[in-house]
Amino acid sequence: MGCLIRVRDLRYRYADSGPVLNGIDFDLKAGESTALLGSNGSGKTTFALHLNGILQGEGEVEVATIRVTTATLEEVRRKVGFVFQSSENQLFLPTVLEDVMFGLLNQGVPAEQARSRAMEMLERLHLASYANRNPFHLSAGEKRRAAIAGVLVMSPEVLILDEPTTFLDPPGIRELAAMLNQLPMAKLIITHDSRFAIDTTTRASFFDKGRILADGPTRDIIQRFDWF
Amino acid sequence: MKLDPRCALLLLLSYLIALASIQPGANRLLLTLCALPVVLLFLSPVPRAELLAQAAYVLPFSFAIAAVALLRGNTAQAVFFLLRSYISILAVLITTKLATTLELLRAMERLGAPRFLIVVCEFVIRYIEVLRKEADSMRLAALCRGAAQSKLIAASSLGMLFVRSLERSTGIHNAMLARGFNGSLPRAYPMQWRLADTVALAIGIAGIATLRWAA
Repeated sequence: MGCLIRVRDLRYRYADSGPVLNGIDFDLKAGESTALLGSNGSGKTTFALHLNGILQGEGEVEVATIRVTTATLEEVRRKVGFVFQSSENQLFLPTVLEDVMFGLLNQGVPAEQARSRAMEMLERLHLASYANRNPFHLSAGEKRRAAIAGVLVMSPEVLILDEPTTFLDPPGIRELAAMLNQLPMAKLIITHDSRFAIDTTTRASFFDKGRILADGPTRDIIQRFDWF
Repeated sequence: MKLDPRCALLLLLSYLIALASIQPGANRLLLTLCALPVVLLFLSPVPRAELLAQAAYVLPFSFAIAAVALLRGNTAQAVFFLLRSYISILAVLITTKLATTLELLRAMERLGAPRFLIVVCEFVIRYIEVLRKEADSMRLAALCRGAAQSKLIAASSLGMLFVRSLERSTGIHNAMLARGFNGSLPRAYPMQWRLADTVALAIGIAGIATLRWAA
C-alpha cells in the first residue's frame, strides 16, 4: 500500500509558547487506522492541524504526494477531512443539511447536487430526519454524527478525528466505533480513550513533549505506556 | 402560499415610508394606515397578544419625542407620535413572524445589504445561545465556590466570556477552513422570486400608495 501521509522533521512553535512539535516523522498508509495517544499538550492536535494546512510549521508534510503549502491547500483539504473536538464549532450553519452541504459548496459542487449528496450522507448516518433541524438542538451523539457527515460527504482519503468520544455516553461511543470501522478510508484518531483506540485502530503513535516516543500495534503501545 | 422574504421586506419598507411621510395632524390618514397591520395581525397565524405587547417596548423611546409636544401643550401631536411609532414597530414585528430571521437576513443581502454585515448577524444569532450557556455555566461555577451575586462577578465573567468567544471563533474558523472555506459563505438555498411575488408586491405597493396619497 502506498504512503498517503508522509511527514518528515516537522517542527512548530506557537507565538506565545515554546516548541510544541520537535521533529516529527510520521507515515500513514492508505486505508490504515492509527491512534494518536499521549497526554494533554503533547502535540497531537497541533500535529494533526498540519495535515490539512491549518498550521504550517517547518519540515515536510505530504498528502498523497502533494506537499502541503499555501498553494496546494485547496487540493489537500479535499483529501484530508478533519472532525474537530467541539462539534458546536464545526456545526455553524442554521440547519444540519446546510452544514453538511457546506464543504461541497466550497468545492464548487452545484447546490442541487450538493443537497442530494448531503441527504444521502445523512441517511447513511441515520440523520435524515434531522436534516432541517438546528444543529445546536441535537444531542451530543447526533451532533458528532452530523459533524462527521459534513466531512465524509466530501469523500476524503484521510479522516482525522480529534477526541471524537468527548461528551458521548458509552452507547454513543460504541455506535461511533462501529460506524468508523465501516469506513474504508485511512483514519487518524486522536483520543484518550484506550478502549476506543483498540476498537477502531490497528496502530498507535505515542506523543510526548512534541515527539513521537513509540509507534506500533495499538494494544502494545497502550500496554507499554500503561495508557488504560 | 408563502411570499418570498424579499417581497415581504419591500412591502414593509413601502409601508414604513408611507407612515413616516404623514404630517402630524393628519389623524384620519394615520388611522387608515394603522388599519393595515391591525388587519394583517388578525388574519395571520401570529401570536397577536405577544406582538401587541412587544410593540409597546418602543413607547418609552418615542415618548421622548412625544414629551416635547406635550410640553408645548399639543396632546394630539404627542398621541400621533406615539401611535405612529407603535404601529411601525408592530408592522416590523409581524413581518419578522411571517419569515424566519435567517430568511429575512438573506433577503436583505439579496436586496443589497453588505454581505459582511449579514454574515456577522447570522453568526451572532447562531452563537448567542452558546455564549449564553457558557456565561450561565461560569456564573454557576462562581456561585458554587461561594461567590455572591455581584457586579464584580458579572464584570469578571464578561471578560472571561470575551476570551472564550475568541477561542470559539478561532475554533469555528479552523473548522471552516478545514472544509475548504475560502472567505465567502456559499448559499445552499438560492431564493426564487415567483410571479406571485411580483403580483403581491405590485398590489401591495399600489394599495399602500392609494391609502396614503389618494385617500
